[in-house]
Amino acid sequence: MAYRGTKYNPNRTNRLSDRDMLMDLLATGKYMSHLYDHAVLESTGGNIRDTFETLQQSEHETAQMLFSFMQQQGWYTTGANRQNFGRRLQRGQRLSGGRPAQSTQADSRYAVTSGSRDFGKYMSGRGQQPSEAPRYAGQGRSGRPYSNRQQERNL
Amino acid sequence: MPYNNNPTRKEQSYLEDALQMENLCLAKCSVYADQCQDQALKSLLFEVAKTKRHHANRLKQLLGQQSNGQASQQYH
Repeated sequence: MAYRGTKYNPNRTNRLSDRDMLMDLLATGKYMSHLYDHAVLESTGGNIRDTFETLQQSEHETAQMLFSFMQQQGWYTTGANRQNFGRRLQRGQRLSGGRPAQSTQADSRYAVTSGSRDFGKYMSGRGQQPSEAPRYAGQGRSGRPYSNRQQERNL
Repeated sequence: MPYNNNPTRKEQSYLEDALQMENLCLAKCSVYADQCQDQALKSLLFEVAKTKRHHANRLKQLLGQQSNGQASQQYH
């Protein structure tokens, strides 16, 4: 944003999507959880150790909250629905969240459950109408389908 | 909060690290809550920010510098 010398505009395409924000918070939470784990192991005990343990516990709960929110939106695919995920990729559909689905020719079958690999493709293909509205996320909390709203936003 | 044992040097440095990270996370949550498009997500982020603030306060207490405005500056 700033490097282009333009004013902040919430509709710009290069701001973080809701999904990216959650991904970032999850990553930060992971880092902090590791930090607390080490802190507990290195503490002499007493009050400080107890506090670190409490904060660690709280960190786990926060991560769980963020994760389940993402899963509700269909932004975090786990192995449980991998088959479905793969089939959708072959039909050329997009996952919700405004990101393109990963390539079916990923170099590894592992560690590709989330995030986008074909960022360049995404950039060049922006503006194209996806063939079909992604129905992956199903209904959002408010009862409206999230996928449609996301799509409008990202075109 | 009563604490009778002073932190060791190691504990002290973990406390400082943790406080820094909690503050970073708090800042991120507030910014994201501001920018996000989904109302449910917004309230979730506010909730997380609140717990982060609790964490930061607790760590500050353990560092023994609550209500000491000028000393707490360095951890922000």
